Amino acid sequence: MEASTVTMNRKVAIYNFFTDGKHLYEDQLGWSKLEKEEARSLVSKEIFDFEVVRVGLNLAFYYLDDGRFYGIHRECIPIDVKILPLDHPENPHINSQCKGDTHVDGDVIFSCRDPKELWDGVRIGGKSLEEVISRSYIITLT
Amino acid sequence: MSSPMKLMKSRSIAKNNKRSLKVMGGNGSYGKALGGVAKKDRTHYDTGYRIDGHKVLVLMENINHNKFIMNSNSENPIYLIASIAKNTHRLVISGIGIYEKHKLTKSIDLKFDSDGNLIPFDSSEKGSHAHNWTENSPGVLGRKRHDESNHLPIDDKYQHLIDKIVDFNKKGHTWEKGQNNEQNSCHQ
Repeated sequence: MEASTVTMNRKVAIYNFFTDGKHLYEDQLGWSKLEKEEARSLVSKEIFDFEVVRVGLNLAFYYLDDGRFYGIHRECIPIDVKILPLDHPENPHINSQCKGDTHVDGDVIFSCRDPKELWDGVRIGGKSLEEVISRSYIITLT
Repeated sequence: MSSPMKLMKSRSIAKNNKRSLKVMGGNGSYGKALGGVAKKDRTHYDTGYRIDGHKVLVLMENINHNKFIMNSNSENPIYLIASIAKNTHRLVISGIGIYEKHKLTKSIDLKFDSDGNLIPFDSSEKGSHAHNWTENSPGVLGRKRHDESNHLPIDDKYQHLIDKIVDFNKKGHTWEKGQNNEQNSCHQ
């Protein structure tokens, strides 16, 4: 019996996102395998609840649909959700334009004292966090 | 105990039994039977650099999220977390993880100005600062909850180490995957 080869055609989300020739693929959007394993869930809200609400990690992501970087600065109270400024806007590779440090100042789009308010409270372009994360590349979770 | 809490606890126990705690870098990566973290579950490279004997680690490139290591392989280490500049491969240490019994107990975020000098702590969180970590529930470490003041000045006892980190960063040490600098340990 001949060995068969399975080829998976990955869909590019953004060309040259990381470097020249290194693209961002659709299957890299949203939560990674690592976070799913840690949270022991495939459900976006449960993963968010584990990583951001329960463990208390800061989250930074690039939202493809509006081309902005966002940060949820979880480590302080009040918890601010902000648009992160670009560190290197001149860089042609999007991933290198912003370090994803949620400490830096940015336009605050939502603020709360209880992290449980984040999931239902945050809306970006009218979209829920679940929708936004599924269309985002997570830069940092720290 | 409320019923949702009961549910969470029983679920956690059941799953812990089913699949041993393995996720390195995050919660539950320390394997009790192994006495450490399995190599296949580790997420950071040891650069081989040392400062006062503390390892300088960088995140593996296949995982993009710059996460503090929650469970240490050694029992009570201090890990120095560095990032690498993409083009120059220059190492910059910006985090210190302090562990007790394989668990992260304190993290220190180091902030630098454009000249590489440390920005000291200030209450507006622009400067370097520390956080306490605790085991919020069995096997799950997290930033200490319900503590609005968990944005802390850095204990003076780390100042000597931090001074050496600033010096290390300014020297522009480089590292690439496959390079191990054990002979380059920094005992400054």
